[in-house]
Amino acid sequence: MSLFLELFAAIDWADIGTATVETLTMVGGSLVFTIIFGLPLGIVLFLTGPRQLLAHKQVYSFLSLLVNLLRSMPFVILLILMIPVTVALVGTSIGVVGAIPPLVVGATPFFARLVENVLREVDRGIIEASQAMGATLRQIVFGAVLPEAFPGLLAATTVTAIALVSYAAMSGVIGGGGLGDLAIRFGYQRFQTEVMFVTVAILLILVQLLQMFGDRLVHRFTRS
Amino acid sequence: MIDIEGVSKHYVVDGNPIPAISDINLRIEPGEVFGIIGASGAGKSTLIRTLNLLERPDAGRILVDGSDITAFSKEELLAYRRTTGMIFQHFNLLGAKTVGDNVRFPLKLTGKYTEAEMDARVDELLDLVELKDHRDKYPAQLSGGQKQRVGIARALANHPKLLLCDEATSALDPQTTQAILRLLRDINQRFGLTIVLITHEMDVIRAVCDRVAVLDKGRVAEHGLVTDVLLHPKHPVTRAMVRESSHHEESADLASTLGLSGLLLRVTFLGEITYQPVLERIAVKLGVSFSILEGVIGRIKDTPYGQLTVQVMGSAEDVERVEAAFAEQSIHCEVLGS
Ligand SMILES: Nc1ncnc2c1ncn2[C@@H]1O[C@H](COP(=O)(O)OP(=O)(O)OP(=O)(O)O)[C@@H](O)[C@H]1O
Ligand SMILES: [Mg+2]
Repeated sequence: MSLFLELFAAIDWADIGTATVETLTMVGGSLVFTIIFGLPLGIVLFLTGPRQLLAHKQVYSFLSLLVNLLRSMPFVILLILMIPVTVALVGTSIGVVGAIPPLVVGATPFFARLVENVLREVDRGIIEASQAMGATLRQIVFGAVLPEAFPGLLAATTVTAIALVSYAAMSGVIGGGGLGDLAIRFGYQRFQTEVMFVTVAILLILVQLLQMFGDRLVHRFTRS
Repeated sequence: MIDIEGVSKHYVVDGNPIPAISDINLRIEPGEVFGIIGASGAGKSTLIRTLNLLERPDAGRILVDGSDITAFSKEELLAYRRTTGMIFQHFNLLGAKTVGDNVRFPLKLTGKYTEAEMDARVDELLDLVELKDHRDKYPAQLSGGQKQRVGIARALANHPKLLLCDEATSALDPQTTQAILRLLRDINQRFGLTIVLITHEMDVIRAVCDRVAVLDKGRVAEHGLVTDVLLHPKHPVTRAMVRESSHHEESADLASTLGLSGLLLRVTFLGEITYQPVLERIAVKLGVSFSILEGVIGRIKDTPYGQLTVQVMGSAEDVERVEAAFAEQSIHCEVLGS
């Protein structure tokens, strides 16, 4: 027992607190931008897809390729490749702010693809009924398809938020701040295994909470 | 109301053109209930979906009140669709919206009404379909029949002149089917709305339609008054369907099986005369007797009808005299197997 306490006594809990807040900020901030860019991209992917309302082979293939390209790139590589762009965008490539652009670029194609799949699951009959009622494309998308897909979109957002937690930890590699940064600086470079342990525990709790919260929301908005 | 002129539509499957409907010519009168019946794959859905351009025909014109809907601009088409209701086999309700909001949806689309006006209209419509108490429920909480009622209320929201029903009762049990058909008839009579419905069930045609077109392999096999088409089917496909729905063998077969060729009559009554003792009177008057071998007495929409296969117990001359007696009363009579 005393050994246990001794082990953790060396931990700077204030550092851990700061790092946790940084991670939450990175995840929250990048999630907001991921939704802002990914949702429209997902909608366009859906609409231009085969046999959909705005079916357009060239546009769809191009966007699809772009999404696949970004998704196939290992996130660490993306982080490094993005450095000049990040600096140009937010003035720095390190810290919480510097981590957000690569996180958004990494998560947006992922989220867009999830959105596309969720929207495709909406019963075609509902789209047809809306068309038959004289709904415009905008009315079909915003009045019927998105509301019908809402629980699915919440689930997609949950999955994306969780992916962002792990991406955010990885961005610690290039000094992105947060729990990943802490784990690397103390746990790896200074051999403080206990810091690594606490970091992982906090990340696990974070992921669990996100999943629980997401599942609750999905349940709350499911009408069947 | 609607003139369908030379309408064709094909689909391309694996690079091969498959005709779904070919050279359809039909006229649908204002205020009537027009049925389209056919086997699976006959092209019924394709045909009804051309009437609001959910499917665009490859050839032909569709004139609605004189204007060709295939030539409509985008705005004209939206306006036309807003005043053309449609109900579906699988209801196609918005699962995330309440019953009330489903009915409100088409009202909202027009952007013409205030919230209060929409509330009032939704209440009125839910009253009409007897679902007032279910306003705040979600579709998943309703039975099939109730869902279709929501579908009907939604289709009527913008005071359509035309209602299209794509197999509206095919997913329902027989009792619920009857209730929905009664509602459709009621709506047709109260609002003078034209209804086009497709079905593969003869009973649906019998219960609500004034006229019917029989579709076979994408073409109109025959069309006319339901009483004519059902009681005197001409096309083999129609005959098969009528026989199927009345669970009878072809009466001509009966004549040869029983070896009674020339002595069997098929007598068709239409209208109030159905309920009069016609056979009895003729029997007394001519001194012959009849044996009824098979028959139905029922109603086609509101018209009573009867169709009996009777054996004349007598000679060939007796048969001729009986025929003449039926003809005198304008009762359709046909000698079988001769
Ligand atoms: N989207 C489509 N793509 C390819 N072929 C189609 C499509 N829709 C219909 N068809 C074909 O067109 C023909 C007519 O189909 P349609 O759906 O109009 O028939 P139906 O009479 O409504 O049949 P059912 O009673 O089974 O609904 C069929 O051969 C069908 O396979
Ligand atoms: Mg069909």
